Amino acid sequence: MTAQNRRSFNQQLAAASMVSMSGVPPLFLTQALADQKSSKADRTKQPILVMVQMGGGNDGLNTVVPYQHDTYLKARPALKVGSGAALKISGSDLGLHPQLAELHRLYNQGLVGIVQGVGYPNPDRSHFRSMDIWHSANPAGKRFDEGWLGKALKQQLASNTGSQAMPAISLGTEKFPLMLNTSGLPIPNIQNANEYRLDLGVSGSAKTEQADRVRKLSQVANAKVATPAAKDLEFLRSTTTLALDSSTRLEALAGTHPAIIPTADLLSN
Amino acid sequence: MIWSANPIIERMTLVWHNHFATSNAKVASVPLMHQQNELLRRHSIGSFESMLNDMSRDPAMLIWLDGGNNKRRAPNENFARELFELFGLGIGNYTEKDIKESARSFTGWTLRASQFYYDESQHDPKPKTVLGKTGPWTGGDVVRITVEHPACARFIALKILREFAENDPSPQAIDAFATVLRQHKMEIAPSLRTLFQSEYFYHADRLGAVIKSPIQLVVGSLISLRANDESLPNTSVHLANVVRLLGRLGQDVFEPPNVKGWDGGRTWIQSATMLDRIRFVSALVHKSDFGTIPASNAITQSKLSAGNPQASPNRDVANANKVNGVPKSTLDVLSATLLAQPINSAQRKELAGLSGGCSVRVTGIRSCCIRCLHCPSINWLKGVMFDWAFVHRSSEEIHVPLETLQRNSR
Repeated sequence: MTAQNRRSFNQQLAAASMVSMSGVPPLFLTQALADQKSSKADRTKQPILVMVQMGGGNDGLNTVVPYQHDTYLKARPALKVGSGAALKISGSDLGLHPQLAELHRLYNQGLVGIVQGVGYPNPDRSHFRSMDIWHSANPAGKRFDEGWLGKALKQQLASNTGSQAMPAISLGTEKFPLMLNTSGLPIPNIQNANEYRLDLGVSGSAKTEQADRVRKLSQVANAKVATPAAKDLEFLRSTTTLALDSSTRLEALAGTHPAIIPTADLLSN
Repeated sequence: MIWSANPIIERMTLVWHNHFATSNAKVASVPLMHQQNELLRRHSIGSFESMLNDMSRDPAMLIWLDGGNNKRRAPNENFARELFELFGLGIGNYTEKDIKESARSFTGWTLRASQFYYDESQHDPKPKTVLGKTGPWTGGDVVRITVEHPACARFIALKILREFAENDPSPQAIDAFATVLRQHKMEIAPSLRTLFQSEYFYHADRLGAVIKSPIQLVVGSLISLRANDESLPNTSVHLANVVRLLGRLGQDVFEPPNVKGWDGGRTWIQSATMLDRIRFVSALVHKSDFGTIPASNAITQSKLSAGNPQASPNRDVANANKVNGVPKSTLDVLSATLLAQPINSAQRKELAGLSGGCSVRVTGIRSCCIRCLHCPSINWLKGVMFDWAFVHRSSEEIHVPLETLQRNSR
């Protein structure tokens, strides 16, 4: 993200729907985005911000390569990317790994930003703590309950009158990303949009009646004040409401906007 | 877990599987994963130090954390790091130097023919300083020094309290249980016995203080509804579908997401898993993907919960209206069986009002059951095993003195 993009990020956030992905990006999303680009697509003009989190190991020094630095050349005696191979980043002494030719092309069009040297002081080298800090942007944290993206979204929505019923969704097979965590915002996570349905084993009016009862049972449940159960109950209640609302909405969308709902064929690809 | 006569053994085996979270995704050997599972079962309620010692030599663990590739000239720090961070002490109780010196102590640990082998030629015999103690340590010494460290008992205390009592125990509770563990020389069974008989454990603040893991929800519900009792007519479990469901709910047994294991608590609950939880409980007490469970099982189980081991599904189900001689509605009986928390008056109105009073006819029991299962408190841990597992079958075989437990719980 360039400085200019960073500045406009918050402005965009206010109006944007947001999609955050973890794990393997589902193909249907790629498809949906392609559809959105095509002139035929009947889409709202609101931009959608897509955040892709790719977890796992990566050699940062061999991704954005300081190919002239002695320290680098000493640190990667066998694996180093030489100045001949690196895809030069103009105006810097850095280059991209030769496998990143597509990314390099996008960079040259001004569509890619790079942030280097992200970390925290005196790292304790625990992978888990480091990821918690990455997701929460809180190096001093002891407990990690809120993610930076969730927090940003919440602040933007609070200052924006027309808050949305479902301001963001999380897609992917991993657990809900800490990055998006925040209390009080309805953010569903969806593994497979076709299976994201309320299934009570009945249909028609019986289903409506039972779904209504599930909602009411959770609303009227109580717990001893100021106990862990009371806090968890609030959480269970809001998640139940979110699950019921978002599945209903997605099911309705499947009827009117089939393009953004994956078919079994698309997913099996 | 579903059929065991010793539920506490299976329960603790699962706890340790999550503690020493090893995944077949890397080990890629069912026999070795099974061997590790037997190790966990063998030590499940025994000495923590013995378990940790055997675990440091376990083939699946050696593959999982690269302990089999720990050479004198190139010590591999992966196992040493997790020994401190995730298995024995927790972050903040050791230094990077402790990890390096500990890794040197484990040099020579390797695999031959898929089993543990000590290659003395690859062991670094020089002195090391680990957690402030200096000597020509081997891996066994490091395990001993780790367990002796005061942080170890606290770390294990937190783990066990989070499993059984509350997700976020106070420092006082952790210290108290750590003292119990140390008094019992890190032996698990007597420590659990003390915990399960304590006032702390039965305090009202502990009610609903743990969110059920997928396994606790699924296995607990199946056991509560006696789906595991083959002597009952028309009762069966479709295990393959149950296992598949556990994966969707986020708990693939033998494939925890990483060496930290499942985070537990609220991370189990998100909109997608909530939909799957609702789908599962709605399908119980039906013939469904997960098996066949007649509604009458629920009442049979209720009688057993009330301490009547002679209960049989053939008896007049209306008897279920009496618990210890006190007449109760079917709704009360079922909610007491299935839920961690008694239903409140608003829920009673919601549950009973729509069903025309929840009669004791079997169809009525079935709809009563489903309504109870739809209460949010179905997601709270109820009993110490897998829900009410301990009240049926051969309770005398169980290692925890259940009589005392039940007496104290009133």
